[in-house]
Amino acid sequence: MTSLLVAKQYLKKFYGKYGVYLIPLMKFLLSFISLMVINAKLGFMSKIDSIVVVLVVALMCSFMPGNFIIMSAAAFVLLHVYTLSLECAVVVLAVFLLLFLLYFRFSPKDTVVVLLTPICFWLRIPYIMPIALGLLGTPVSVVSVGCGTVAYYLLAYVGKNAPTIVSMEAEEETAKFRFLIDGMLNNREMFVILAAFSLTLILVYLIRRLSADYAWTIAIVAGALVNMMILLVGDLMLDTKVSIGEMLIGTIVSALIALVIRFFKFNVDYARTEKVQFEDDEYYYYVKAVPKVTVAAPERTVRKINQRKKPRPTQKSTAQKSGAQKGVPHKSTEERRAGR
Amino acid sequence: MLNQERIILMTKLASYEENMGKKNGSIMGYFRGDYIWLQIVKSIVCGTLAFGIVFAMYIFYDFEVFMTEIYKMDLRAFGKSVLTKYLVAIGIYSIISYAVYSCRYARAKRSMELYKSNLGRLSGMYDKT
Repeated sequence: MTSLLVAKQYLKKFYGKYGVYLIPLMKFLLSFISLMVINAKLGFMSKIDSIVVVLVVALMCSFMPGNFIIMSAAAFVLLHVYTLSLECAVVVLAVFLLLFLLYFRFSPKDTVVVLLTPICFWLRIPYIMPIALGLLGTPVSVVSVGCGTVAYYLLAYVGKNAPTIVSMEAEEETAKFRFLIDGMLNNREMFVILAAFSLTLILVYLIRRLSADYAWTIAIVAGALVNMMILLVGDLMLDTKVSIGEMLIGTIVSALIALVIRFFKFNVDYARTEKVQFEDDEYYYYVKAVPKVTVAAPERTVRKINQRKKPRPTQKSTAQKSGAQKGVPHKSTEERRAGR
Repeated sequence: MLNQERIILMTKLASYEENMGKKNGSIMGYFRGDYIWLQIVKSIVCGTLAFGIVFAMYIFYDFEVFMTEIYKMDLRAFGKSVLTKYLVAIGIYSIISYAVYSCRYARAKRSMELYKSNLGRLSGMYDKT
């Protein structure tokens, strides 16, 4: 455990020292991964389905504000979908505009959440998002998670039904339009996931803010259990055909990742809790202080032993300055200490 | 002789001014009522745009049927129902905006009060020396 704490201190120091370079690098990686995933899942437009284009755009995103990454990802999606069908592009554009109007009003800083949610869905661990945001964010993050979830299901539906859309006649514009909108509105799994994530996030947020001992751990466990319960109830009531094994494994992995987040963000020692009371002119205070668990990262210093400094020819040696006798050798510090 | 406590406090104040201070300062530039009303007006504009998009998609969903039925339907009743739905949607969105921005104003106010109290503490440190 101590070595983990020391490693944490080293990481914090490293981030503090090189943060200026790390932040653009992380933005580059996030935009690169997002655009590569979009190209892999859609990939209808060959001109932008190229690693060179992705690298150039990702490089631009690393120096621009965070929301530029979302704009780039949305532009990529629209270009791919436009290549597939104009009606698809109109529907996707309308959904994106609705999400942007909602997202930018309440949580414009949650760029990472909107991009990470679909990526976590494709990695089969989407349940980490509501738990992590309940621990690290506020209830308004429900909007960002919701936007990411809707974007994922929209892209997954378009990608899965691309052959059907292409096979429709060019004159069947209304039919294509209706096919896409029905696909979104009749997607019961998406609505169950949205409800589960919203409730989980709010529950985790409320529990971790309590002053009870181990509140964060209880919040993670409760969030994981409530999430599973809502998905199972939704599967029973609406027949969403959720894979229970995958859900179980995904939830366990998400809870473990959340425990790692807890270790980095809120590592306290409840055994050394102090409760004090005091008063001033206006209030009587009941204070509970829980100390953080920290260790000082050992500083590495290189100490050379038994190396004598050679005196410079222009300067008097130390022995001559201190008035030592001629012929008496000058003892080093270690020799003098050994002689005591 | 450097006063470590004073330097730490000044560093924290400077960091606050650089990051949250700008955002909170712009919020506290308004009275509470004015700030919340401004945000509600922005929400109403966004909500109206969003309602317009949803309405357009609803029309295009059954466009052929809508074009054939438009001459037979009671346009006044249709307009009334659309307007009622618009007002309900905007009402709900405005209530949510009011709640969110009231919380943000209260949080910004608390944060600025703490900042001012720390400034007073810093000023007291200079007076002592």
